[in-house]
Amino acid sequence: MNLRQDYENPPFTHIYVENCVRNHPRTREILIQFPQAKIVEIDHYKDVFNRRGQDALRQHRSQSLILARKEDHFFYEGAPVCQDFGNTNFYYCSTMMNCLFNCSYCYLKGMYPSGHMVIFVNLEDYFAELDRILLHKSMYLCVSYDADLLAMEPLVGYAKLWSDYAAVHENLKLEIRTKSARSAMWEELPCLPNVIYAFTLSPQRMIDAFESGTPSAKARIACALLGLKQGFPVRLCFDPMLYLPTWRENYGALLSEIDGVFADHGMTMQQLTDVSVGTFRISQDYMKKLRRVEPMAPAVQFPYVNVGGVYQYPPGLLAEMENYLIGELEKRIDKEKIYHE
Amino acid sequence: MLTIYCALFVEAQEIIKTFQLKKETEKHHFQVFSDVGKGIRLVITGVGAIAAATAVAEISTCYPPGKADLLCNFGSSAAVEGIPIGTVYFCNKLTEENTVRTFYPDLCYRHPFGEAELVSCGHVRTAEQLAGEHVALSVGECVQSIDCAELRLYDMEAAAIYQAANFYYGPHQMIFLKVVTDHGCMENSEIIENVAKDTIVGESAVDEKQNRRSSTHTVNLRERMEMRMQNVAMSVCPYIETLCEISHAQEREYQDQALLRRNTEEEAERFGNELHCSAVMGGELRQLLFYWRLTGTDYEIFLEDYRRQGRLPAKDKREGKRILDELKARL
Repeated sequence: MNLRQDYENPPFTHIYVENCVRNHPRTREILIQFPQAKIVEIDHYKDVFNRRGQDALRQHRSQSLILARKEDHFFYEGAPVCQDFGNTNFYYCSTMMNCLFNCSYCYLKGMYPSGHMVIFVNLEDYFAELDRILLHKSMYLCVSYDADLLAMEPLVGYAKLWSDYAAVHENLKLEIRTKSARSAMWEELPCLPNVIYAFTLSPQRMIDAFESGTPSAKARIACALLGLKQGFPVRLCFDPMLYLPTWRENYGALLSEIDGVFADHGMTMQQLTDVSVGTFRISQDYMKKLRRVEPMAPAVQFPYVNVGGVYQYPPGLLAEMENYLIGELEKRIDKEKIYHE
Repeated sequence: MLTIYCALFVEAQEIIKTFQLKKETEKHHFQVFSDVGKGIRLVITGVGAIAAATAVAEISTCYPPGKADLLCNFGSSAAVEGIPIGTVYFCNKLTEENTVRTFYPDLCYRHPFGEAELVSCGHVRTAEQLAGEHVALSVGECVQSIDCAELRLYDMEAAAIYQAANFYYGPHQMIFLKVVTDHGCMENSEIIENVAKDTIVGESAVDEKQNRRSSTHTVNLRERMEMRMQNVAMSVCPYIETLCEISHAQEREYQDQALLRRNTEEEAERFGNELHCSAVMGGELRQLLFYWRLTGTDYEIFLEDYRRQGRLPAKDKREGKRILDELKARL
C-alpha cells in the first residue's frame, strides 16, 4: 500500500452541515447515505470552503462534503468560453460546487479555493426563482457545470429533481453534463425532450493520463448509447479535446469505437441530439491558480498561448485538432448538429 | 518536519522521552526540544492564547515551515462529566470563546481517536460551569435531526495556535489532539498557573518563595497530569510517528518536484542565453522545457540538431525567436 492509501481518509468521511440546513429534509436524505460519516456543524459553508492556504489537491483525495444553503445568485449567464448550442437565454447554475472526479485540467481547481464539495440543499429556492424567470422568458440552463450531478445521483438525486421540474416547464431546456456512466440512471430519470444528457468523451489514452477516477471511454459510450436507444436526448461533447502527441490516432480510435458500439446496436451518431467540439481552454486567472494546484500535470503545464485572456493551444495546433475532429464528425452526423467554439 | 506545540512541560514530557528529543541550545523565548533527523520539534508554549500564538509565530519564523511540514497541538483539555478522563480526541472544530470565531482544521489523515469540537477559553473552566453548559447544550443546541452527539472539549490555546499558524501552515497541515484531563477545575485556577510556571524559560528554577506558595494540591495536580499523559502516550506517540512519516513522504514528493523545477529553470536560463531570449521568450521557453520534462520528451536531441547545424548559440535575438518558434512547433 502506498502512503496515501494508508494514511489519508477516503472521501466523505466527514460532512460539514450548515446550522441553517440541519433540519432540512434533503440534508437528512443525504446524511442517510453516509451513516459512518462524522458530522461537523458549521455556521456558513464559506467558513470551511474559503479558508486560507488550502491544498485543493490533497483535499480532493480526502474530500469532505459540505451541506449548505444557497442564499442568492441562483443563476448565472453562460460564460463566453462555454457553448450555447444555438440557444438563447443561456444560463448555468451551481447546485453543487466541485466534482467527485479528479481531472487534472479541471477549471474548478482554478476557480475554487477548496477541494471539498459543497451541496446546496435548498433546491426549492432555485425552483422558486426559476418559476419567476420562466414567466417572462424561456431558458437554456446547464445544471451540471461546476460539478457532475449524474456522478452524484445515487447519493443526492438532483438530476431526477431537475428533470421532474423540467417535465412541467416546457419553456425550460436543461443540459446535464457528465463523465459518469451509470446505466441505472436511465431507469430512474424521466425521458423528456427538454432535458439533454451531455456525455463528455475523451480517448482512453487521455482518460488514463488526465481524467483520474472517471469511467472509461467504453463505459461512457455504452451508457450514452443506452440512453439514446431509450429515446433520451443525448449529446456527445468532445470538449475539451486534449493534446497528446498521439492525439490524432487517439481521437480517430475513439470515433471508431463509437461507430462500432453504435453499429452493434443498429444505431448511428446521426441519432444524437448534437455533438460539440472544443479544444481545452481556460481563463488566465484560473490557469494561474491551476498551475499552482497541479504543478506536475502535463495537461496543465502545456505551453499554452494566451489569446485575449484565455489560455489555449497554439493556433496552428488548435485549428488542426478541431478541424480534424469536425471533419471526421461530418462524415457521421449532419453539419448543423456539430457545434464548436 | 512535525512541530508539536504543548502548553505545559508535563504534557510534553512523555513525547520528549519517547522520541528522545534534545533541548535546543539556540536562544528562544520558549523551550524547544527536537530531533531533526527524526523530523520532530516540540515547543513548550506556556499557558494561554497569547503565549501560544507568540510561540507559533517565533518558532515558525525561526524555522519557516514548508508545504510538507505539519503542526500538531497536543495537550490537556476539560470536558463534561461522563467523558472519561484520559480519552484522546482529534479536534475537528475550534471555537475561540472570546470572539466566537470558529476554525476548521482539515481532516485529511486517518487517526485512531474519537473526534470532538474544542472551545478555547481565556480562563480555566470550573466543573460547575461545564455542567451548566452541558445542560444548555442538551436542551437547546442538541442536533436531534442529524443524530450527532456533540462532544465539546475546553482548552486555552488551540484557537490561538490555529490563527497564528495559519500565517505559515494551511488547514491541511494542522492537527489538534487533546486529552481529557479533568471535568472542570475544582480548585482555584492559580494552581494551573503554578503547574505552568516551571515550564517557562527563565522561571524553570522555581524559587523557594513560589514553592512555598504552591500548595500540596499543585503537586497532586502535576502528578495526576503526568500520570494521565503517561497513560495516553501509548496511543499518541505512535500517531506522532505516523505524522512524521506523512511529513517525510510529502517532503520527498515536494523535493522531487522542486528538483525538477530547479533543473528546468537552470536549463532554461542557460539555453535562454544561447537564444538571446527576452523575458517573455524566456518564460515561454521555461514552460516548454518543463512540459517536455514532465512528459519525458528527450528535447536534447532537438538542441543537438541545432548545435550541429551551427544555429545554436543563435547569432541574435531574431534567430533565437525563430528557433524557439520551431521548437514550439515540435509539440
